[in-house]
Amino acid sequence: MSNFETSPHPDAPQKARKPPAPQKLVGIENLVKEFSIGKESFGRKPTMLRAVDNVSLEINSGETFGLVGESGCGKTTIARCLMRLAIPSSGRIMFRDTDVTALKGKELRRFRLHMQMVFQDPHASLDSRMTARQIVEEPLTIHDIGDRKERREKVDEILTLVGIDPSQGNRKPHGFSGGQAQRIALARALVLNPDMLVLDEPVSALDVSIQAQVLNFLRDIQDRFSLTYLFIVHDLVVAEYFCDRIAVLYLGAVVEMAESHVLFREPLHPYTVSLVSAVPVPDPESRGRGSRIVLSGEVSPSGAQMSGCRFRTRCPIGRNRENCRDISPKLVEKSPGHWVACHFPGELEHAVTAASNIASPP
Amino acid sequence: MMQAVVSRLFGSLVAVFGASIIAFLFLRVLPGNPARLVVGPLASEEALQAQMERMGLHLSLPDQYWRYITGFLQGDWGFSYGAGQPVLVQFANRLPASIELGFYAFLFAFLAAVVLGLAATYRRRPAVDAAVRALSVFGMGMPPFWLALILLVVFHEALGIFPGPGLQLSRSIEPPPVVTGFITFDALIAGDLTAFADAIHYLFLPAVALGMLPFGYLVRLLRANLLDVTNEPFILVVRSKGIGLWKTFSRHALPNAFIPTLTASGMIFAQLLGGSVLVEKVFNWPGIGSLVVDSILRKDFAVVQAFIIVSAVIYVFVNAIVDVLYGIIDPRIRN
Amino acid sequence: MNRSRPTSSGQPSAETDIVLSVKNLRTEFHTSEGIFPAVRNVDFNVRRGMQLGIVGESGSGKSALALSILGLVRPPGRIVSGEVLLNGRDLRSMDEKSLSRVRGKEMSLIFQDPMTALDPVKTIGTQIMEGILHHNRGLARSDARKRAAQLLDDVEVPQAAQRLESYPHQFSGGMRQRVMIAIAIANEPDLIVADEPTTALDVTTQAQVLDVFERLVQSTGTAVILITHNLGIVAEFCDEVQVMYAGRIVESASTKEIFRLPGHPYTESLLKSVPRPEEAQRGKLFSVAGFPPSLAHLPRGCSFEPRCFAGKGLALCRSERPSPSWTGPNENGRLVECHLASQRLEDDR
Repeated sequence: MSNFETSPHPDAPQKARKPPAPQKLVGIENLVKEFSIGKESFGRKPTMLRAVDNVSLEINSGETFGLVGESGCGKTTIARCLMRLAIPSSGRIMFRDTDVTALKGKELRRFRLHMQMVFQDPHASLDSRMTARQIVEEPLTIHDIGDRKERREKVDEILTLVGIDPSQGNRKPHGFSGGQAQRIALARALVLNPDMLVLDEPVSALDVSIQAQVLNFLRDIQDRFSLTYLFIVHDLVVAEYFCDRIAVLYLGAVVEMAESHVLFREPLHPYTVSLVSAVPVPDPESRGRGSRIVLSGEVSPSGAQMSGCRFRTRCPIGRNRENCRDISPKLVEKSPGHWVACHFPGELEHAVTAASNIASPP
Repeated sequence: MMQAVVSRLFGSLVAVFGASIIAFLFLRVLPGNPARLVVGPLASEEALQAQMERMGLHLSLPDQYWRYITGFLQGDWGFSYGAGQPVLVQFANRLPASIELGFYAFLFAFLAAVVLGLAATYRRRPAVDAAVRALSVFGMGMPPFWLALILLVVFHEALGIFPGPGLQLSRSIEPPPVVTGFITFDALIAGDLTAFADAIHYLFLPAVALGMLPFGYLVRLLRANLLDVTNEPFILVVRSKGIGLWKTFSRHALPNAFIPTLTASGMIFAQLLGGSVLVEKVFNWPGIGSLVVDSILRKDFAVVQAFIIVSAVIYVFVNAIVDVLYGIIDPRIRN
Repeated sequence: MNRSRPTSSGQPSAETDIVLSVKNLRTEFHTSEGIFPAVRNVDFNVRRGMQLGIVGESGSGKSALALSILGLVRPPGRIVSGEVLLNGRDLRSMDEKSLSRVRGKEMSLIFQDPMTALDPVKTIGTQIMEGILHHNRGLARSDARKRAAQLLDDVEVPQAAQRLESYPHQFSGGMRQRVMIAIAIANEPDLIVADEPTTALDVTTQAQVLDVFERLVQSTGTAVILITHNLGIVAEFCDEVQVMYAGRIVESASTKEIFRLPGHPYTESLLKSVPRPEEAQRGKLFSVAGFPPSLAHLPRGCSFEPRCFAGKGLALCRSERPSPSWTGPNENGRLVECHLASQRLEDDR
C-alpha cells in the first residue's frame, strides 16, 4: 500500500512543514475577462459580463495559493485564463519570464508541460472510453516524450505513486471509485513533471474520508516535487487547512487577500467576515453563540456594473454609506501581506466579536 | 420572440428555395432530353427543336429556373406527358390519399409508442420492458412492404377481418362530399359515421404496415426518455407530495419525456406525409409515392420536380409546427 | 441563532410522543451483479419535534433509508422486511391509496439537488399547489393559490405572489431550495425527511436556507430527519445523530455526546478527517484507510474492521458481527455497534 493510503494513528505527532521560499512563479496583472451574454443580432450590441474584473495577484514558487468565493465569482475563469483555455480580454499573465497570454503554437504547447489542471468531477473529466493506463500515457504521446517502453515504465511509476496498482491500469474510469478516479486524474497531471498544478475543486465531489486521503496526498507530492498549487475551492474549511495564501473573490474582483491563518483569524472585509461566520462548525458547543451573519440577497452579476462598492447591496455595514455608494474601494495593503478592498475594513469583525462576547459569557 | 419568428420564417423560405434549385438543376443534368420524350423517338429534328422551344429548354438555366418557379407559384406545376395531365391535377388527386395514410400511420406509431413506452416503464417490470424492447427491434427491423404482405395474407386472406387492396372505401358506401379531400375527415364533417368507420377499416392495415418502423423507433426513444425522467429526483418529490403513480406519469414524466422526442417525431411525420412507394404499391393505394416512382421511370420530370418542392414545403411546415410545440411544452425554450 | 426549544433527548418518552418508529427495516437492491442490502435491519425512533441527523458517506445507505421511510424505493430496490410506523400506523401494510393520503400530509421529502428536484416544465405555483390541492379535496384553486403565495413568503422568496408564475430555471439554486421547503411544509407534516438539503449551495446561501428551514420547523414542531455528510451542519442543526456505515446505524447518540466523545471508531475517523482551524498548521489530516466495502460482499465480521484503526486484525472483529449495545456511563445513553465500544468509552473516563 502506498503512503497515500496509510493513515497515522489519530494521536500520532504531526510533522511541521517548512515555509515556502517566496519566489514569484506566476504574476497576474490587471486581468480582465468579459463574456457576452445574449446573442448579437441586427446591429444590437450584446451585453458584456465582466467575469474577471482587473485582478492582480502573484503566486510564489512552492506555495498553495487559494482562490475562494461563491459560484459566479470568477475563480474558475481566472484559472482558465492562466491555463490559456480562455483568452483574457485584457491584462497580462506572467509565468516566470514569459507572457502566457502572448504564447502561440509550439511555445504554447511547451508552456503546457509546466502547468496541468485537475477538475472537480473525475468521472466527468476523464474519457470514459479510455483505460486508466491510456489516460495517463496520453500526455506523453501528445508531447512525444520517450519511446513505448519508457512511456510504459513512466506510467507504471506514476500509477504506483498515486496509489493505483498498475495491474488495474486496464480498467476504465467507471471501474474506479470517485477517490481512485481523482488519483488517476492526478496521475495524468503529474506524468509530465509539471511545476504547477491548477486544482479546480479537486476534493469537492469526494466523501470526507476520501477527501482527507486526497488532500494528504496532494501535500505529499507538493513536498516531494516542489509543486506550486493554485487551489480553487468553495469549502472554506478545506481552504483554511490547505492553502498558504488566499484571495477572496466577489463578483470577479479580489476583495481580500492574505496568508491563510491571518485571513481566517482577522478577516477585514465584511464579505470575508460573513463567509467565515456562515461556515457550519463541527462543534455543537460553539453553536448558539449568536455570531453567524446571514447575508441577505444573492450574488447577482449586475452588481459588477454598479457604481461604488460591488458588495454594498448585501453589505451588513456599508449599505447606506455615501463612500460605499460612490467610490469603488481599491485593494490596499492594510498590514504586510494583508490586502483588502473596503472603505471600512475590520468594522464588521469588531461588531461580531462584541456581540458574541455579550451572547456567550465565558 | 418576434425576432425569432421572423428569422425562423426567413430560414424556412431559404430552405424551400434551396430545394427548388436542387430539384431544378438535378433534373437538368440528368441524361435524356425531356422534349424527345414528348415528341417520341421518330420525330424529326425540327419537331424536336420546336418542342424544346415550347418547353423553354433553349433558354439559359437561370431563365429556365425563373420561368419555372414563377409558373409554379401561379399554379402552373408543369405538364405530365406520361399521364397527359397537368401535374397540379395529378397532385390534387393523389396527395390527399398519401397524407391521410401518413397521418394515420403516424397516429398509430405515436399512440402505440406512448402506450407501450408507458407499459415498459410504469411499474418497472423487467418482463414487460423486455417485451416492448423486442417489439421495438421487430418494428425497426421489418421491411414495411414485407410487413404489408404478411398483414394482407393473415388479416385479409386467412382471417378476412380486414379488406384487401385496391379501395379506400367500400363500393356499397356513398363517399362523403369532398371538402378536404381526406375521406375520414370529410366523413366526419358530413357526420357520416358509417363512412368514417369503413374508411378507417380500409386504412388500418396499410397504416400499421407503414407505421411499424416509426413506431419501433419512437418507442425506443420514448422508453429511454421515460426511464431517464423517472430517475430524476423531481419525480420522487412529486410522489412525496402524495401524488399517485398515474398522475405523476401523466402530469410530469410524460411531458418531460416528450421534449427530446419532438424533433424526431416531426421528421418522421413529415416523411410519412410524403407517401410510401412500396406500401402504396402493395395495397394499391392511390397515393403520391407510387406516382413519383412511375414518373421517375418514365423520366416525367415535371412530376418529380413538383414532388421535391412539395416535400420540402411539408418538411419546413412540420418543422415550424415542432418549433411552436417546443415553445408550448418547454418553458426553457420560450425565452 | 439562538435555540429556544430545549432538546428533548434522553427524556423518557411516552409512546404518543413518537412520530416515526423504524423497526428491523431491511432494503435490498437486486441487480445482475448481486444483492445489495443498502439498509440492513435498522431500528430507530423519531420523537415529535426532534431534529435527527443521519450521517454517512456515499453508499452508506442513507438515501435508501430516506426513500424506504417514504415507501418510495423503486425496483430493482425493495423493502424486504421490517416496519415503518408513522404516528403508530405501519406504512408497509398500507395500500397505495392510503399511502398517497399520508405522503405529503403527515410526512414529506426535501431533496438534495435543487436543480433537478423540481419539474422543469411546470410553474413554481403549480408545483406548490399540487400538494395542497391533493390533500385538501374541494379547496378552491384560488384559495390554494393564496396558500402557495403565503408559503413562498414564509420561505422568504421576495415578491412571492408574482413568482408563482415563474419556472424553476428562472430561480437561483438557493431560491429553488426554498421552493422545495415550501412544498415540504405545505400541509404542515409531522415529519420531514431532508436528504442533503444544502449540499449544492454556496456557504452564504446555505446559511440563509438553513436559517429559514430551522425557523419554520421549530415554529410548527415538525420533526426532521436531516441526512447529510456535512458534520458542521449536523453540529449546528441536530439534537441527535445517527452514523451510518454499510447499511447499518453504527452509532446513535445526542449531538453533544457524539462530538465530545465518538463511541464508534468510524465516527471518530469521520470527525478527525474534517480539517479544523486548529490544525491549520499543516499537519497531516487523519484519513480512513481504504474504501467502503461493497454491500454485495460484506466482510464476515464487523463491516468496518478492514479500515478500523482500533480493531483491524482483531480475531473478534474479524469473525463476529457486533450487535448494538447501550453504552456510556452517562444518563443520555448511546447506542454503539462495536466490539470495542465499552472498552473505548471506559478508557476515556
